[in-house]
Amino acid sequence: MDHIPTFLQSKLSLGQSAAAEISPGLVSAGDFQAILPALVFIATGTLLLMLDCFTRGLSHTDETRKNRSSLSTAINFLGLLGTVVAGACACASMEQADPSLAFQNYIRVDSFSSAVSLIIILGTFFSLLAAIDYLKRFDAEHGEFHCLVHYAAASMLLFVQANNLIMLFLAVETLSMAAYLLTSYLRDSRRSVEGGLKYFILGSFSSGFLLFGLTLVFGATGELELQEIAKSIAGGEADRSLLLAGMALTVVGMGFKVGAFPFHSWLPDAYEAAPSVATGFMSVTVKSAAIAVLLRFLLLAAEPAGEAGTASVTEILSSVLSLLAIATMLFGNLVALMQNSVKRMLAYSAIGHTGYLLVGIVAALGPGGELAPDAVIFYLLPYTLMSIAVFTLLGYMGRDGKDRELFEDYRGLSTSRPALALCLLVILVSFAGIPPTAGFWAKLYIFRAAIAGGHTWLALTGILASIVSLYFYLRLVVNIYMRPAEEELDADPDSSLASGLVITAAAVALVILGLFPDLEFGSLIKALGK
Amino acid sequence: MSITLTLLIPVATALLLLCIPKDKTAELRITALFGSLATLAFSLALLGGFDAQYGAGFQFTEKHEWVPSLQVHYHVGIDGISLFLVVLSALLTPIAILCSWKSVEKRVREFHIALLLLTSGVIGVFVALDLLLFYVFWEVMLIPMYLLVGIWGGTERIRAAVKFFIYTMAGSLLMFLAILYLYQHTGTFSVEDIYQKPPLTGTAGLLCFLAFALSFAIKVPLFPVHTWLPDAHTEAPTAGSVILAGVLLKLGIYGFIRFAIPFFPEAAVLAAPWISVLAIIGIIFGALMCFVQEDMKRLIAYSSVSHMGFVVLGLFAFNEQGVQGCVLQMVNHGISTGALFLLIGAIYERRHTRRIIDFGGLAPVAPKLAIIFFITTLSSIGLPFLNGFVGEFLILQGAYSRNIFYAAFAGLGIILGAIYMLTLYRRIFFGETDREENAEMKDLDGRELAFLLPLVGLMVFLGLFSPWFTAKVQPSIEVWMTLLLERGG
Repeated sequence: MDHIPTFLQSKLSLGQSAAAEISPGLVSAGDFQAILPALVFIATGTLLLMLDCFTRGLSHTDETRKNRSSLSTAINFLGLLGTVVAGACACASMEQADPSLAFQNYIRVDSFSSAVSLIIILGTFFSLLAAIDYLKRFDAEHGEFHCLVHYAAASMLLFVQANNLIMLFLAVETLSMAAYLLTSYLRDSRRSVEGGLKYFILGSFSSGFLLFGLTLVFGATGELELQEIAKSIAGGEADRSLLLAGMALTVVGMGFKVGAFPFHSWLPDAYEAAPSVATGFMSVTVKSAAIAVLLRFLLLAAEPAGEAGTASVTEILSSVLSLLAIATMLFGNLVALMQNSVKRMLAYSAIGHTGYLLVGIVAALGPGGELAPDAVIFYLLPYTLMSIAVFTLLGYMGRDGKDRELFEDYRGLSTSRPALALCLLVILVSFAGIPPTAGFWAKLYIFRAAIAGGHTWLALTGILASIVSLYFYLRLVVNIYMRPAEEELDADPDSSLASGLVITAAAVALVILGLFPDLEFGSLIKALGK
Repeated sequence: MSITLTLLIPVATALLLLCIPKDKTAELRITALFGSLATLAFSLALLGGFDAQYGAGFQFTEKHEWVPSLQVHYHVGIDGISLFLVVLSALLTPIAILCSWKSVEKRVREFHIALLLLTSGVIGVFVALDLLLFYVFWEVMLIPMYLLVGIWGGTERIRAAVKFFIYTMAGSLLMFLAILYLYQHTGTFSVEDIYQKPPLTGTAGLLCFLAFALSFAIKVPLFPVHTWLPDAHTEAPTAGSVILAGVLLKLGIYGFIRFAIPFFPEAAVLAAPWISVLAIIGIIFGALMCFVQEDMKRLIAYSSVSHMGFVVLGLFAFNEQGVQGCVLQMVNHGISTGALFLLIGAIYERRHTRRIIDFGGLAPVAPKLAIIFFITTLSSIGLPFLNGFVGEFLILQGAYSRNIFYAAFAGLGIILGAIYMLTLYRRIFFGETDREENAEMKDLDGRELAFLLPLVGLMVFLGLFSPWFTAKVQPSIEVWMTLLLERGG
């Protein structure tokens, strides 16, 4: 054992003795209670898959069609019900003030993870609701969709609750698998399959980076548990160069997942190729989970500032992340400006929003960063509502198995669908960050946290990027409100109630949240045990 | 409560309109009109209850917690400076509704909703005493204005609307950053509290001032960021132009008075010569542009650039006459330019053209139109006994005591203004009635007189009884000047 550093030797032996202590009886009911929302998702997902498998009719007689449609209704209902139950469980865990650990500290439930879980569950609920219409419209009502969404949601919940590097990686891989499959869900469409494959290849690549990074962090600190890693780093026991390399690679891996420049290249293709409901689902939930985990990881693994003259690992990472944030904001918004397809525009604007979130993360890392974690989490909430609503709109506009994605397709929507147009106006205004919508407060909190942390330049870049973004959000408003339709949009298909519900609910929620945007700052950072 | 009611009635009316079926246009118009008249009544109650001798501070104040974690309050109140701007905004809304009675036929419901929300937004800007509340109102009113230009405007409406929106938003987002920076520095959004805190100085103060100033300068608009105005004015429907000229342009000046200058007095004094020069360039440039315009609406738009230059010049003279003239002239410009746009709208409704060359000899055909247009023209060029005179005189006086050259150039601007306005009048109303369409043109009807005569009455009233006006404004300006001196301006 001579070649192993001494500090690792002690850690390893400690690990062995700890392993010896674990006996089968140590998994308690409390452990399962901690991951109850995820369990509910897994159970409903499996149930739906089974239901679909064993009841799918083989022949295409009228009777089986009829059965099929009642089966779909049942699946939709059960799927939504499962989400609601999971949400209720997450709400209950939000109530408990103290963080609790489960499964030998692999899982940590605190108000940070519960808040993010709730946002993810909200996104899942809206996506499933929108999917009711979409799948029927595109004749793709297979039970796998619900199953995949539920599994993805479950793994995301475990991802944000993960308190251990192994758990972290397992959860992110599971959720990525579900996301690849969802992207290529429309299996008869070339585009969808191609996009899924691209996403898969680049995603696996990024998982490699992430795994390597996590391994190096383990190597540097000799710990797998986040809290212990934090202690080791804070105590100055970690190997600094290894740690820096590990953290940098972790940031690269997570950068892929959140779609930060320059690791964004998969994102527009995957977003464009995926069925719109799946795009909406992925764009909010995967991003929320990954941003939250990145924030938690970087905050816990923060190295205190060393003596003058030497930058700490966190300071180096923070300056790298600032550059990434600036590049991401500018790139996302500038490229979105040039798109002719609404879906691609939204994909690039999603990159831009990642940039704003990174600003929040940078602010959280520096001094005076107590405000930032709450700001980041708050940002995710309106972002979830807006993003799902616009992708639902894309699905709603689709006719005859095709998306209608060009800006021109939206002309005259305000005359044929005035109520829908009004809701969209609210949503786009919120995207652009204009009061009295929630999008305004989201940007306000982020930029305020940035200024409080002394990152005025980041806030200025964010403002400039927002000015750019006005143009493409307005472009949609111009088409909806100011240009007459070239051809009248044909009547609503019989399945558009759920889409309308999602869009209306999002618009109303954005206005209400915009009028009552109070936020208790500093609550989440305490929950992290920082 | 009066201020809150003035703010809420338009919003409530807009919500009410949502409940009326969209094809019942007459009901929609009447509801909107009554809503706006109620707003006007409440704003007049403010005017009646306003106590000029109240001393320092704001009246009719209300303060409620809104976002406790940021210490944002719903805090409103008015002083002599904002009082008349609130009344003017409330007055122009029913006028805008009346003037669109026949000309706006598509999407009547949405039109009135946008107009009413716009009213709430602008009144909100004038009464807000919390910086963030002000910013919320400042942004909120953009969307209805953008839709008004973009949906009900002329042929180039979309370009004009987008230009208007991007220009204004670009300025206000930078201001937003400055607001957040200021909050970080002072720890409060309350305007009165910020007045008490030591001002930001040095580079930070200058940059923040510039961010505020850019946003307000775009709104005024000050040369060289005025280019959105001629487009927006020309393309906007008459109601939009009236509100735009009457109220929206004043928001910029008001912002300078209430926020930019007292917050950053050092930077304001430093920038004053530069801004004054820009204002003078605006005066002369706007006036010269008027000489070559073929479209009368565009001409009035450029004359607005010129007139607003005067207002800025008066303000940045930083003396009592100048500031008083500035406040008075804001109201005057709102009335006379608003009336000009209404008249041009009336002509356009009849002839469907705004090209000056298409007209001539209208005076004998439409005498009422000719007389009202004439009084408005005279008011606009500042003839004694009409409202424009007092304001221009005070501004010139203020500018003179700051720098004689300012006054000289401004005087030149007045002369140019008289020339282009009278030329416009001559080309439209005098000469041969050589076109058949012009010879058959109808004179103003009862509805049009109903919204034009009050404005003409105000022109005469403010011209003859300007002391009534200045007496209400004077104490607030004195308070403002003292504040500026205290803060080292």
